[in-house]
Amino acid sequence: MINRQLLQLMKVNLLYANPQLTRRQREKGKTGTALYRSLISQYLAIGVVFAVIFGGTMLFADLYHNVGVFTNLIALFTIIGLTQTITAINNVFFESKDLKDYLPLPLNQWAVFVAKFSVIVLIILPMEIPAWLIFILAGVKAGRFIGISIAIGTIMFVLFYTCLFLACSTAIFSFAQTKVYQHHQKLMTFLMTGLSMVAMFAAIFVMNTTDDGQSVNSFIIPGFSQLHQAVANPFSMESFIVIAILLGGIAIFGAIMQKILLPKVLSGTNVQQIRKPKRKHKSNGGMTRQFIRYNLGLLKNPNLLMQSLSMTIFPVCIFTIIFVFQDGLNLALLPAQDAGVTFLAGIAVAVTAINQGSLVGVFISLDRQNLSFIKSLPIDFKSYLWLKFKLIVMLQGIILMILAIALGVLTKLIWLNILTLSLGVLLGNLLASAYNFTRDWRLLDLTWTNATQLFNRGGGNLLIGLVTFGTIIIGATLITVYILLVRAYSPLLINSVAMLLIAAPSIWLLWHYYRYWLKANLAL
Amino acid sequence: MIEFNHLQKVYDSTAALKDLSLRIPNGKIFGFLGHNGAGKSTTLKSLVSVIEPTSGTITVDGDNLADHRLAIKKRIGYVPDSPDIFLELTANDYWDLIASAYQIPKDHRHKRQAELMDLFDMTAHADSPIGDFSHGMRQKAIVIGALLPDPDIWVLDEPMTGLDPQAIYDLKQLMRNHAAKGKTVIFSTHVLATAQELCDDLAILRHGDLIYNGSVKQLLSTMPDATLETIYLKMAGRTADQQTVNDLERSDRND
Repeated sequence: MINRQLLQLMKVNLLYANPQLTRRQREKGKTGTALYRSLISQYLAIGVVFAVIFGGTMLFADLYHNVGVFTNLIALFTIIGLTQTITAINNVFFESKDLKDYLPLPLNQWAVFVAKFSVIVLIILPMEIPAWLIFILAGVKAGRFIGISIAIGTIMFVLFYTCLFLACSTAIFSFAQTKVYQHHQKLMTFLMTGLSMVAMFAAIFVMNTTDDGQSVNSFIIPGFSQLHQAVANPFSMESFIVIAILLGGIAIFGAIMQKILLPKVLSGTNVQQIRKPKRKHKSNGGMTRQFIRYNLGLLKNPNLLMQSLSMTIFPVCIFTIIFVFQDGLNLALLPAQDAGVTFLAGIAVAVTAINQGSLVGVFISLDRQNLSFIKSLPIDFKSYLWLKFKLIVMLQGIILMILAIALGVLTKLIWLNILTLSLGVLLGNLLASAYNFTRDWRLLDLTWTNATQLFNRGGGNLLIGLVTFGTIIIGATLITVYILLVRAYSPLLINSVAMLLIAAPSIWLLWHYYRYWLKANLAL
Repeated sequence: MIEFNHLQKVYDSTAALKDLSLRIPNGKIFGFLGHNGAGKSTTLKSLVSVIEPTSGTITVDGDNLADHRLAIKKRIGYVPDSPDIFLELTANDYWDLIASAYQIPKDHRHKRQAELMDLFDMTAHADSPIGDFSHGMRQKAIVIGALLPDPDIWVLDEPMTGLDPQAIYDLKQLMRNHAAKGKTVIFSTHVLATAQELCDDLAILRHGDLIYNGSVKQLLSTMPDATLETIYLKMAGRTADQQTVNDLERSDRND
């Protein structure tokens, strides 16, 4: 009977994690098993893509002899796994509003927990597939029979990541029981996800900078080398000790979760205990101000902010850090005649940062049910949406400007090029925002329960990754061509033509979205 | 018999329930009345394990809720104060969840679900997401879910809200029939005429205090020409008369 409950709960949680896709599949007439199969197949697709991309590159690495590469890669995927686990647990357990709805039902607590965690595993697993391949490939490169390598690699992968997953869960759920967390939940969530994200980027950065003096290949991370030993020589005493430690960890963390933490998380003690403190009423200040205040309040969601930043601003920051500190990028020699190039670079930076995962891409949906109510008010609804657009474009513009100026100063650009870079960022922000704001309206979701649902709309994370990657490639190509042309021909002529080529599609795009909104049927 | 013993619920420094003690016998329709914030929903949510009381105990037929939570939950069907739950699920998905939670045998479930869907005119909407329903239809979906396992105890937090007149009539009939079988119906309402019409016993709460617990008949007999509304407002309203409350408490004790 518990199996029946568990299966039903897993189905419910799967639907909750993918509301947009669920809706689309239902519109196509899919229900029951066919619906669940199509939801699971998307995770499989992401897993396959990850496996092909990373597996393909790792095929050529000798993970048996190069212990350093093995430990570095496992460490990287460990940190990625931890970051994703923290975010997913926050979303599925603490941000998702459905937990309290299970409380009155006679459900086995363990079934509720396992069902929720199965969805978390589904979210994380595709990103950890490369780690699984690393475990297997290390065995294959040792010259062992492929079947045995797969079996041993899979066992080690499952043991290691189960232990890690339970340890991480124990830490988060223990922390969630403290008064500090309960009284400052949003701040703590922000710090937790933020710090883990910073740790991930720091790890990537450190791993990319170890090759001055000490090669990545020879830098062996202590602790992870034992895992290599377990995969390379699975029948040695050291391997058995590693396996015993992992099994012990799983048993201890599992017991703590089951006996101590979960009964607290999945009981009434954690729901509705903390009431928000009364806030001082601020005097009216006009409707526009009220709406601005309300809309800024919508952004006070730590999970949403962290997830959005990790998909938008953080990658740009990482590239900046790598270019400036690792590659020592110095653009001081770029003359004023390259002002057009930096303008184009600014557009590329903004278009990379402002994607489907940006705040402008979810800003209308953040209104949830309030949007219907706002529409019922005796105000012009389009003016309200216009106000939202202006507000979020301005906020993003400020962040991107700071980023552009920092990028310019760090790469030692001359002031004119910093200025054009900033102007390019502003134009790119406007164009990308117009697209993503409209996209949010097209895929409007006012019933989301956690931020991940918003980011998974349309093509989801996969599309965000592809668009970002595509933008970088296209942007870099255009910039290279631009630089070559400026060097080969008259800079004045090339810059003038380039400005025309940039201005024409930009104006057309803005006109296109202006007309779209002018004619848009704003029925909810 | 359901017993609340010295139940207290404190949110930070605000007491939502202050030392509530009362008994609800089987086979009765029991109503909770009180203004907004009086503690009705807190009491019901404590009974269905949505919240944990700060102190005190709840027992059902002698079993302490804290010790027999799962078994007692299985005996309770609950309609929350807001029907905005599981909005991503279709009504059928939601009832599937309920059926698996209460472990209802398949054949029994399908028969009862068909009856309830028919009664509440929901047959045509079973495969639509709850999020697409109107408030009243959501309420119907939740009510069907609560009644689907045919539990002994119905706990209904303002169940009539948003329902159409036919559905209200049908629900009232179901409540009466359920109590007539010796089972228990507990509900909260702001509609005093409904309370007067349906309840055998009731509890009136004010600011977390129990100010009346007894039969409706007894309460009405204290002021023969008055309606429940008049008496209620005299006890719990803006110009509440403490003397009336004291008199009623005394007469209840003597009874």
